Amino acid sequence: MASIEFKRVEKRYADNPPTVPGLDLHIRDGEFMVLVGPSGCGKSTTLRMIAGLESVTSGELWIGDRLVNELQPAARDVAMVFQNYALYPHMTVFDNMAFGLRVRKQPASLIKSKVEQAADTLGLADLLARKPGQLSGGQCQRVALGRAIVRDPQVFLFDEPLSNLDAELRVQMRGNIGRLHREFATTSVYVTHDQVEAMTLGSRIAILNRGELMQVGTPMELYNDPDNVFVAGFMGSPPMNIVPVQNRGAGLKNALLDLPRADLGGLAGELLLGIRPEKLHPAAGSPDHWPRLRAKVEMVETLGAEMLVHLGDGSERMIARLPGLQLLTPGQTLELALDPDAIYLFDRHSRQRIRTVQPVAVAEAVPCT
Amino acid sequence: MKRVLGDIFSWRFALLLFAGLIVIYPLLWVVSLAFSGQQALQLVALPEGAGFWQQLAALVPLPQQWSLDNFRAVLTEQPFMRWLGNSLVVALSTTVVGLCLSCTAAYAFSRFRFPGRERGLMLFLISQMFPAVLMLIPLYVIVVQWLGLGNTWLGLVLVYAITALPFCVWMLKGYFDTLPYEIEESALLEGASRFTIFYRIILPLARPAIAVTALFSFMTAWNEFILASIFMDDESRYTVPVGLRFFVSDYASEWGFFAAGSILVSIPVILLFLALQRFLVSGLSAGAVKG
Amino acid sequence: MHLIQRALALWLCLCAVQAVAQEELLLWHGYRGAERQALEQLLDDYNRSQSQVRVRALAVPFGSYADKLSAALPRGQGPDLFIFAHDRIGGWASAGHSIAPIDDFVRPQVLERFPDNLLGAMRYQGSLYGLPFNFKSTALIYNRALIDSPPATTAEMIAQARAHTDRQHGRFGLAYSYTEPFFHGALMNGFGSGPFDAQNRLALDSDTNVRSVQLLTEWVRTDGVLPEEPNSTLVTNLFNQGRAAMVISGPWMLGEIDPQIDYAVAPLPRLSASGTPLAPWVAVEGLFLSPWSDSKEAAYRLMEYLTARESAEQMAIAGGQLPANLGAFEHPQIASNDVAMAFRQQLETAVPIPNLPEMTLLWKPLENVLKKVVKGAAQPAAAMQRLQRDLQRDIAALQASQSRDAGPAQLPAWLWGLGLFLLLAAVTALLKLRRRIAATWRHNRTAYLYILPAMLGMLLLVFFPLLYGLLLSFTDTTLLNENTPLASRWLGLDNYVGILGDWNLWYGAGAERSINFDNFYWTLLVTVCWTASNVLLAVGLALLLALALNKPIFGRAWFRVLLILPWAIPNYITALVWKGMFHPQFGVINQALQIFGIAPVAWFDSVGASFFTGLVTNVWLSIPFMMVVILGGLQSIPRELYEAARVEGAGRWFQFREITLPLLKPVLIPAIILSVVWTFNMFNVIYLVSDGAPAGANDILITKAFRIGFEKYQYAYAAAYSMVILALLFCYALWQTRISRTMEAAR
Repeated sequence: MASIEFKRVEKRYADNPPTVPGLDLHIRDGEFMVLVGPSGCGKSTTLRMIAGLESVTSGELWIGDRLVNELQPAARDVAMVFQNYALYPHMTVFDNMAFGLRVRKQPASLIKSKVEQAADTLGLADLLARKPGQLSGGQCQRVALGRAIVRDPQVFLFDEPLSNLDAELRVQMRGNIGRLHREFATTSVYVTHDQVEAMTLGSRIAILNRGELMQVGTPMELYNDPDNVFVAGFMGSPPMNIVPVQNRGAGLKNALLDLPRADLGGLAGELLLGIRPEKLHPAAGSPDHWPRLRAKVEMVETLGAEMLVHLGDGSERMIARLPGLQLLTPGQTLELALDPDAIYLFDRHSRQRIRTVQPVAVAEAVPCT
Repeated sequence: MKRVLGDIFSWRFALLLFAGLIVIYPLLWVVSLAFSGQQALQLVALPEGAGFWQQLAALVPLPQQWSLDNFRAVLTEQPFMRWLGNSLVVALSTTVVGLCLSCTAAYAFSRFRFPGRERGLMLFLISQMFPAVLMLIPLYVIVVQWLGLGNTWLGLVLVYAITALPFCVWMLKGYFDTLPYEIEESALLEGASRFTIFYRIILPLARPAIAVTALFSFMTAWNEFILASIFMDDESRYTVPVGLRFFVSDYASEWGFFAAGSILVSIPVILLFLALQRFLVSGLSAGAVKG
Repeated sequence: MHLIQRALALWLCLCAVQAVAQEELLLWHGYRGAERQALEQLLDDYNRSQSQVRVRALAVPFGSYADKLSAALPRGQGPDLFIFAHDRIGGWASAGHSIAPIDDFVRPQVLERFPDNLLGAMRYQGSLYGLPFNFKSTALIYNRALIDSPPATTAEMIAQARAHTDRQHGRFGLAYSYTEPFFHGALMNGFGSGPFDAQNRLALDSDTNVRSVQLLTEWVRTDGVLPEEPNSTLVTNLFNQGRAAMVISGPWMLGEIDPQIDYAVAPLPRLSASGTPLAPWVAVEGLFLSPWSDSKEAAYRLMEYLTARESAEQMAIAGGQLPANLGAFEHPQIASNDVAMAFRQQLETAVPIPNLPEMTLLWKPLENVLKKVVKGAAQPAAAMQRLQRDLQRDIAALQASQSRDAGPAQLPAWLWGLGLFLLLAAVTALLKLRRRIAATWRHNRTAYLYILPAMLGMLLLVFFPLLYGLLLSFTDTTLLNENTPLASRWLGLDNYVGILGDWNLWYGAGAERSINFDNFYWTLLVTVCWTASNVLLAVGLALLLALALNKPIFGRAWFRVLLILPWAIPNYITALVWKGMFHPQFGVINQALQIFGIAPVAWFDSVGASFFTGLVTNVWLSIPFMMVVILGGLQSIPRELYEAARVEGAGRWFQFREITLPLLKPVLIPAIILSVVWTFNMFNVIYLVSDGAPAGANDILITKAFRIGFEKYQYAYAAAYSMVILALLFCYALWQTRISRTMEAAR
């Protein structure tokens, strides 16, 4: 097992702008690191650099105490699970799982016991004689997992391993992967574009956008304390409401809400205000000092226990997650209260979080009428 | 049953039947000449005042009497079996050598990006454009005079393998292009060397295309006679097509022997076609739409 | 040290002596069957009779014998002696390094074995180049059930023939391959001195030669006693079925005559007009000596042995030959053989084929003229005059190349300069880019190593010959100066100028104006039409068949196998079957047309019909490959696309146009490029089926190049032709890939 360290790692293809422009990231030993971001953000490239499938243009990449920039993939002692499984179609499940060991010239008895053990762990014992063509997607993915674990590598790499599976299997496999990580405690790097997977699996999550590292942290850190608009908007489903507000010297205002007495210190100009849908509560029953907003209901998505209410008047939109008790009809006006502890402010241009001012305190100081 | 009847009365079936007839008709002439025991095709001899159907029947290529004489003569007059064996050795070696050369080259063209790649591929295509008629003397100079490979099978095998190479490389490259990269990357991570990957992963996966290229190389070597008769200075080393050409000359040609011999020579190829039939279609163009 | 060297030298000497003790002689011949057995028996006897020399024989099939000789002999390879027809002596002797005179060895009494005309055949420019072994000439073979006594004059022959001709039922009084110059020679020689005059100058337009053609035309067109489109197979067939009363053919036909036919052989009749006998050409097979042989003396002794009377008798009795040693005909078994004696008698009037190198230029053009004239497409006198002009030009070209090497020409100075410049440029580039090259190599070593073996093979066996062809195309190499140094043959771009600047598109003037079929641009036009129509038809039909086979149908597997068959059988034989099927008089296609009340088509008489025969054959041959490719493409189109289109209400045609065709393109384009290249260079079909009929109008570039190289012996000009072909195809490939790439980009 080993830690992984990126030091100013850059990757560029030919003369194009860099896909990964100078990444600094430390993945701790035994950690389950999820790389997440929209497609094209460089997360797969980062993963493939760890594997050695892509060369590092500049900077240093360390696995454990080895500088691996020039090391062949085979010598890095990593295992990778691919999105399309990448099973060898002409080999049986057993042979697929045994391939890496055979290549490394392990004794046959050891191979057999290791493969069978892994197959037991993954519930593949009955399928060992089959070929990949005869397996379902979930089974294939388990074989791919098994192939990775039999080798007992220093690092597991996952490249969107669940995106070809249906929802139910995905949940199940997520559980499997989590369990395996708890069992083996091997350093793992997991690439996905699905923030739910990231939240459920990661010890820590690194969010990437256009090759830039946006924020690294535990799932709750990222959720509760996003550094910038991108992270705030990426984590959570539905995502955080982010609306532009104008700072008119002594208050924040836009078409939907009005925080007239917000004290923003020296901040001026245009800001972004963020609040998660679940932090919007029905006005009735909320503390009086919470700011209110009144908006038209555009659409209601009923999810059973709760509902997602889309509010807006054309230019500004927000979503509120409310208990599914009320009856709402589109067009009706709804009054909601904002949890002042959960209001985030961002700079509109740099899109970075503004931590110098706490809108919470502002709100508290000004009781609503 | 109903489906079969429906099939039979469909335009597709009619088309196939018609095409099948056109394909088989000239071949039947070859067969009937071979089995006629004679040396020339019987001319269509219309009976005097024959009716329409009689006239039509006269066009059916059937020998007047069946006889195996032609086959017997072909098999006994010359060391046919020995030459057949030589042909097999040459053709199989050509296939092996051709596959070795073309698989490695095609793999590199498909999987690596390197300076000169496009030009290299174009070179392979160009080599198909030069008329073979003029290659004879230079080939003789190289193979017999320079390499000293006259009267050896190695010389023949090399020439045949290289002749078939461009087609094989193009074919295989196209097929390799359709194989997913991840499989190789996975094997790479598992510690397999490039060669192991090539040998244990890519080649088994490309079986259809390899089957087709093998067939093509085999046929290139199997049917050629001019080079074979010019390079070989020992009758015991002739290949079957050389033997067959003894029956054809400017003055008199034993077409019956030649037809019988041709059929005997074609049998292994037809068997190969049958055996490789399931690969043939996918091998020539599999994944072309995907890729 | 010295001791060891001496011992070694001694040992080497001993080895040499031992080697001399048994010389090995290699003899090449083209025999098979009984002839071969008789020859091998003789050689066995010879080997057993003495111990100094061992003779080893190698049989070479006819189709490649000449090529094998001309590849091996000038390069010091090949046999010590060989048996071949005499008509190439002139070519070999002029080229040098191919054949050695035997004047130094020959004993006068040996020459007495042979008649003068056969010995004359072995002489070229005063030197004797071999001993005659056997002879083959034509004579009259007649069916005794139909002809009581052989005709003594041509008038009598034609009268008898008319009595036995019934064209309606395919019966003919006389049949022979009359359009082949070898057969027509009998008439030419009967009237006068043949194609060359007494001074060996070409005289095809002489009065006598024109009269010979006129007489033939009369026989074919006025008397109508001869079948159309004759060839040896047809003649044999007609005779075997009793549908030809008399045929003119040679001893080679005897073995194929149906045993039920009662036949006899007689010398050809006299010309009624002049009273001179028809004098058929005789081909003399001789024993020739290689100039490279280490044991010429022994080889000559073997020649003597093989032409001795006992040997000749054996070759005649066991091998069925007509031996050149006429003494053998006194052997009772031969003397009692009427057939052999008839040919022996025919020899008295027969004339050896001229062995001048020019003679080989004459066969094909003369045949074309004869074909044209007997069909009424040309007038004998005019056609022969034109042929004379054309051939004189070709001969002059050939001779010019030979006279050139008298004064050894220099490679032009600019060429040396260019070579030096290129070398310097390459070296400086190499030095300058050394680091980059090394880096590239390091970076892509694996890739280059993978390609290396294939590239080395290609360089050696493809690109070297190509370079050779390129060099050749800048010279004026012909048969006659092939073995002189390259520098002395250097010509520059003249060949290309000659090809591309050939704007003689027309022949004659006014009403007699006709297209010049030898013109490069005409041939190019034909080639382009040929390629385009072939590929279009093949792709279209293959697409149709593939569509029919794509979905399950009764007997699908069987149809698939069946439709692939033409691919599996050597195209040599199937092309010949197609040629047979297109025979205007006896081919099944015309028979079938007649059954359905359609007039038969003279397939090889017009440019269009003749083009059609090649087209049909080649499409038939190339459909399987296309079909399989397209089938593969069809099967990889996802079914959902069609379903989606159906849901949207698209009809079949729409689905085909919008889904099938675009998605087939990735498979089709490479297949089309390949098949264009292959069809452009499809030698076999054109050569075997229409053979460029009529008169070379349907030759494509590659067959034309072949004819220039191997029928006119202008090797360099043929090489330049090939280079032009290469350039054209290269441009096509560039254009096609660019088009498909831009189309790809536009999508």
